[in-house]
Amino acid sequence: MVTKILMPRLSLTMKKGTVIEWFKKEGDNVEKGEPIVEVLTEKVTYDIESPSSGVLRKVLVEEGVDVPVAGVLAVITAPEEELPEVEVTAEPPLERVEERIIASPAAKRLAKEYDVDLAQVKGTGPEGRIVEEDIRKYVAEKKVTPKIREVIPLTGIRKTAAERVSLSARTAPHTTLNMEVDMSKAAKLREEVQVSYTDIVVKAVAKALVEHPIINSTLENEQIKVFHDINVGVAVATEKGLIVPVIRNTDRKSLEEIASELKELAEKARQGKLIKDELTGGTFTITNLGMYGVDTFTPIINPPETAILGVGRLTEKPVVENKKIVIKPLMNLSLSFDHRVVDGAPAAQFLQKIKKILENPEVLLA
Amino acid sequence: MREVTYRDALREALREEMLRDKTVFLLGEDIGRYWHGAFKVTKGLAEEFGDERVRDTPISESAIIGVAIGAAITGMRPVAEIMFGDLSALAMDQIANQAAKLRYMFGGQAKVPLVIRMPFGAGVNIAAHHSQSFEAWFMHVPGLKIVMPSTPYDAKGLLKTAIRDDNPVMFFEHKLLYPIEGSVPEEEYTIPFGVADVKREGEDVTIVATLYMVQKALAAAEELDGQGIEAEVIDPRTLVPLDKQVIVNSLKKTGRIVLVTEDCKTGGVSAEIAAVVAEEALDYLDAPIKRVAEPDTPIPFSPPLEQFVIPNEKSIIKAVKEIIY
Repeated sequence: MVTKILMPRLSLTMKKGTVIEWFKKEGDNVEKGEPIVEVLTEKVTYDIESPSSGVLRKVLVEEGVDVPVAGVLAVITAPEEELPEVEVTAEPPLERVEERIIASPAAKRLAKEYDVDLAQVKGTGPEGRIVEEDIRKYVAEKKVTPKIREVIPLTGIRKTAAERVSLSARTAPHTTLNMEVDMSKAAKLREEVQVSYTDIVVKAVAKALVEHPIINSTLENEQIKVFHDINVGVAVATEKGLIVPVIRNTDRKSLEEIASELKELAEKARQGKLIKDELTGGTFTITNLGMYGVDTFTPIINPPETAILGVGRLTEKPVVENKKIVIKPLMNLSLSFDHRVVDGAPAAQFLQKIKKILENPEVLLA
Repeated sequence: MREVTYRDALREALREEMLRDKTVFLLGEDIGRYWHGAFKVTKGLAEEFGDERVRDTPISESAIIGVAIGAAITGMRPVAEIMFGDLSALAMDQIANQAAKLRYMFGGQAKVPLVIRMPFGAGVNIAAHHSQSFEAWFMHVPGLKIVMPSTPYDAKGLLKTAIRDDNPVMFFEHKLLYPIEGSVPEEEYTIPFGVADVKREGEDVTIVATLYMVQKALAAAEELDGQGIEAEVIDPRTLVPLDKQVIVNSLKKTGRIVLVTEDCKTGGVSAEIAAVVAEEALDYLDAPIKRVAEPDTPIPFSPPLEQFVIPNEKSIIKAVKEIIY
């Protein structure tokens, strides 16, 4: 049998190679797998191994000569075999042919579902066919990307939210302070005035911001700009995502006004009817996860604001007061602030102020 | 529940339908009071219903079916018996060109409520003219329904449905099934066409088998169970209409399918089911479809040679193991 030794394609871009050294000469016996000639490409040298056993019948290319990919370098024949006429010219370079991977249809389907490259899977079926079980094992062992059920494009509110929280987390060094608040009096007030805890917290925050204006600010071009207006935004969860309607001049509105405005804004938010003015101009944000049973969390600041207040669950707990254990409704507040703008102490003082107001909420009615 | 033979279950269906509907009558060679049919399915019926409703006919299959078609389109519900299914070839023009087409050719103004009962199959040493399986022939004729019960329960329920059907029904019986016993309830029941039955559940491989091959497939499944392979055995029960969904659903579970039929492999029923699987459930195949069928040869008279060509537990198990790696 006549076997031609060809210039191999060692990289996708390789067009030709140079014969560097023949390890065998014409008439030598060669064994299959034995290095027979060294070739050089732009990048590497490579020993071509004999593709079959026999006699190196004819060497067609001298050392130092360039040969295109798939060009014939030499011919191996059986010991007694006549040498046929061999075209010395290079055969047209072969396109790289993907080796056909044999896999059952079921295995292919599963591989597609898990985005598994069949070339990486070892088949255990007949003649190495990849079967369903092989994919399952591969997925289990390699811990490949979990199977995808559906793909949701990042658009609309989700996209905006993604961009904004990334911007905030990337630029503002966040610190979160947690503080427990006694809501006994606020609970009474809530009953009396018929408002929600959120309304009370909004009003309390606005009042605290009046006394701590540095929190009501933004960092822009190496300038801390302290806002004159106090516009508190309240995060509302809607079917389409989280949006933050803003109550303008919160500090100048009464608790009842805040309550009715917030109710209207929240309803519009759920119906997707908020207009641009109602969604912009915020200087501080409040976010409440208490209704989901969350005690404390670390909210991400709503850029370009300086701080955000997270409201946790209101729950009755035993508290030691005057050396006696009494039961009180307690609530956690979580204040995240931009540490570039303020340090921990002023932020803590601001939080303390909110606590103080909430524990003496009659001041909100003034 | 009481145990009844396949033969007796068929007789019960005939008797109950004859009692229920006076237009139902039987005709065929030697089915009357002197012989009760070659396989004794009509035993006692001539005595009970009279020779008018259980009619012995001359030895002419073409005449039997021709008469039955005429009776059917004029308002009767004949149940014709062909003594050996092989002999239906003699009536093929009546079946394929008349029975199957009249309703269509008359624009729906005539209907052909005809049942043709025929014992098929090999295994009783009666050679090439009395041992064949013709289901593929009939399956290729639009207008014919094909019923192939594998148990006494199915035989009774499907025969009653066949008699009540307004179209020609080829009712396949198997010589080796007649003495087989199975549970049959006392009370009235029918089995709709086009509903396959899962005769045994399993996770590893789906075996679709018809008629007597269902019994062999179940025996093979039992043996495979002992070797840790759980086979699901599905009996389509009717080939026309064919319940594709049950077959495809089973394949989705097992990923492997073996088709066992007693007809010749080439152009056989198993080829049709294999094509359905390839067309509708390719992505669930984890191994090649396997067919176990008779080789393309006349059924030999020699008992050892006959046994050699009929699919059996061994050939089914072999096929299953070829696709369970």
